[in-house]
Amino acid sequence: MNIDLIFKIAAIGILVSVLNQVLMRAGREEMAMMTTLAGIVVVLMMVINLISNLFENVKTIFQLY
Amino acid sequence: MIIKLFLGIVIIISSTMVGIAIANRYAMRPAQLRALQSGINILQTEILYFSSPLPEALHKVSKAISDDISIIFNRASKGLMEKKRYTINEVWTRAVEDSMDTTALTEEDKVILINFGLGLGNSDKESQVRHFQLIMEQIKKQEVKAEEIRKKNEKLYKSLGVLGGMAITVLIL
Repeated sequence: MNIDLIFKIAAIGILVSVLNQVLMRAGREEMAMMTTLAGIVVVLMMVINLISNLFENVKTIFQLY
Repeated sequence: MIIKLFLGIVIIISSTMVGIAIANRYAMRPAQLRALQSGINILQTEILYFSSPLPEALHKVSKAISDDISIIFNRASKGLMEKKRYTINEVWTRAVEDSMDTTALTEEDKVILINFGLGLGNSDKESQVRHFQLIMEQIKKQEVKAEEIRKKNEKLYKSLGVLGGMAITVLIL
């Protein structure tokens, strides 16, 4: 577990929000929507392993096999 | 670590340049349409007041206006001077179609230009003037439209280039 991932996600968040603003200003709402969705998907791909780890751990702790 | 930093900078710079290149295409079109208007104006003067033959008139026009657009006039004039028994319509249409890749003009502009060639040199001066005016009006309309599109897209693509580069860097490093 390293802290880099958090910074990476933060950077993606900032970039996506700025991109969103730029596209909105240029009148391309649907493209802005798509970038937001893409950002969400990318971040989700990054954290999905960690989330599944978390669930595994919870299962082990409470012995829910 | 240093290699990563270097790679990131390279990616950001290259994507910025791509963004600027795309933005430039939008900036070029209004300028080229303006050059086209002045070219057609000069051609009109050549035909009306100097009564010079088309190959010469086209050659003079190609020397008077900026490079990107003058290719069309230059090609047309050369095509006529070769005297291979093509009509002005054929030569003009070919010149326009060959030059489409190197200019920022779109399909609509191309159709107008080809129409311009269809009426060129096949009637008396008065109807030529009417024809010129019609074409000028159409090109002016296209220019206004192109200017609008430029305003909308130029800044967008510039900032999109920089931000896209940053996004790629963050994702792969």
